[in-house]
This record gives sequence, C-alpha cells and structure tokens, in this order.
Amino acid sequence: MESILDIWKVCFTFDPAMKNRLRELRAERGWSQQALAERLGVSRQTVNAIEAERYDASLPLAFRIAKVFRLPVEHIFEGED
Amino acid sequence: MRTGRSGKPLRKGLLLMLAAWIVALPAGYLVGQAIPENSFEGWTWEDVLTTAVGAWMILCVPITVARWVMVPNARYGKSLTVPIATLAAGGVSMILPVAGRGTFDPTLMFGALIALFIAIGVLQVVQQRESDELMRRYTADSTVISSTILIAGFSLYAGGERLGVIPTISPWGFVGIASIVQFAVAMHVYYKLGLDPDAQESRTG
Repeated sequence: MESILDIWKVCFTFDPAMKNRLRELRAERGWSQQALAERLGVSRQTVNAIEAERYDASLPLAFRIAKVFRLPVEHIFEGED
Repeated sequence: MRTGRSGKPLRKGLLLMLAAWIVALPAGYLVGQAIPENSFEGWTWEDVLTTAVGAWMILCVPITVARWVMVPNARYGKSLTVPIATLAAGGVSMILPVAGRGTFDPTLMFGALIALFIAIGVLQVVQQRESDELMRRYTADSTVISSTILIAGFSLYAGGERLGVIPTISPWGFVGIASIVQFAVAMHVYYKLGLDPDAQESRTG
C-alpha cells in the first residue's frame, strides 16, 4: 500500500524541490535568467525551474552553479535538516 | 527586459482563440467543400480519433513556429527544425493510413510509413542530444508515466477482451488512445516541472 502511495506521490504531486538562493544571487549580480543560463550551458527554462523550486539541479549542474557564483554549494542550496 | 507578458494571460488566450476560430472556420469550410462526397464512408471511431490527433499535431507546427519567433528565449532545445519535423512527421503518420486509403497504393503507403517512423526515431535521438538536463528529465518522466499507464491499461483491456466483457479495439484505435494518454501525461509533467508558459514567463528577470 505504501509503495502505491509512493508511486502516486512521485507521479502526481507537485513536490517542491530543494530551497535555493539562485534568484537572490542572480539579482545581486544583475544577471538575467538568460545570461545565467548561458554561463551554465543550460536553457533559460532550466534556470527558471530551479529558481521556482520545481526542479532539483543535477549534481554536476549544482557544482557549475557554485563555480559561477564562486560560493560553496551549501551556500546556494539548502539541504533538509 | 520583457514587459507585459504576464499581464492578462487569460484575455490574451481568449483573443488568440478567437483569432484561431476566425481563420479556422472559413478554412474548414473550404476544405470541406473540396472533399469529394462519400469520402467518409467506412470511417470508424478509430479513424476519426487518429485523424484528429494527427491533425492536431500538424496544427501545432505553426503554433510552435510562432512561439519560437515571438517569445524571446522560448527555446528548450537548440534548433527549431527538429521539433517541427517531429511534429509534422508524427501528424502525417497518423493521417496517411486513413486519408490516403483508396488514393495511394497500400504497399507504397506502408513504405512511406516505415520511412516516416525511421525519420521520427532519428529526430527524437537528435532532440534528446540537443536537450539540456531539464528537458531530458521531462522526456524521461513523461515516458515512464505514460508507458506505465499504457501497459497497465493494455493488460487490463486484454484481460477484459479475453473474457468477452470489452469489445475488441484494433491496433489503429490503440494508437489513437495511446497518443491521447501520452499527450495528457506530457502536459502533466510539463506543468509539474514548471515548463508551462505562465510559470516561465511570469518569472523572467
């Protein structure tokens, strides 16, 4: 029963992704979503989905984001305590 | 900076719908006049379903082009050619077996269908290679969910059909139903990942 509920949750609920400071950090630097997307080598839609907390960046992308902002990953993405 | 995109999406949607009807009604009338009498004899609900889905896919081509041209940074992939060609080839492959019946040689049409499906397969590989990780996640999620639903539905249907409680559906009807399920699931995942125009365009900065 629990596994059916898990499948349902994965497929049909809008689980929020990890909290992050991407929008705030981008605004501080005065970059548009498109400008950040170009630096990261992804589409603007991906930047938007991460900012909107609809999508969790992959580990390689999270590290690229950290490199672009010159900050540790944990300063950008908030883990669950 | 883009302005005015998130102002009144409903009003804009209604205006677009009205414009589409203004174009579609006379166009539909003219197409209807050009179709010879008794052309639709022998059509089953399955033919109507697949033709409607195929026509919808072809109608999506100009919408995709318009969005590509009119909305800055609306691109998910690198090229416009691949999604357009995939949509058009998919639409033609669903319409050809019904609309071409009695006009073209069936063997020739089947050969054309094989060529179309090879082209669609190649285009989908190209599209996957051109996509970034969000679009790959979208493709993966929608494929997993729709194939799970379709396999479960098909197994249930097969059991019912074997027991004689459900009428037989031809593979052609299954194609129409599967396309609609895939479309519904794709839309769900699209919204779930925040790829819908409202979520995208209201947060542009």
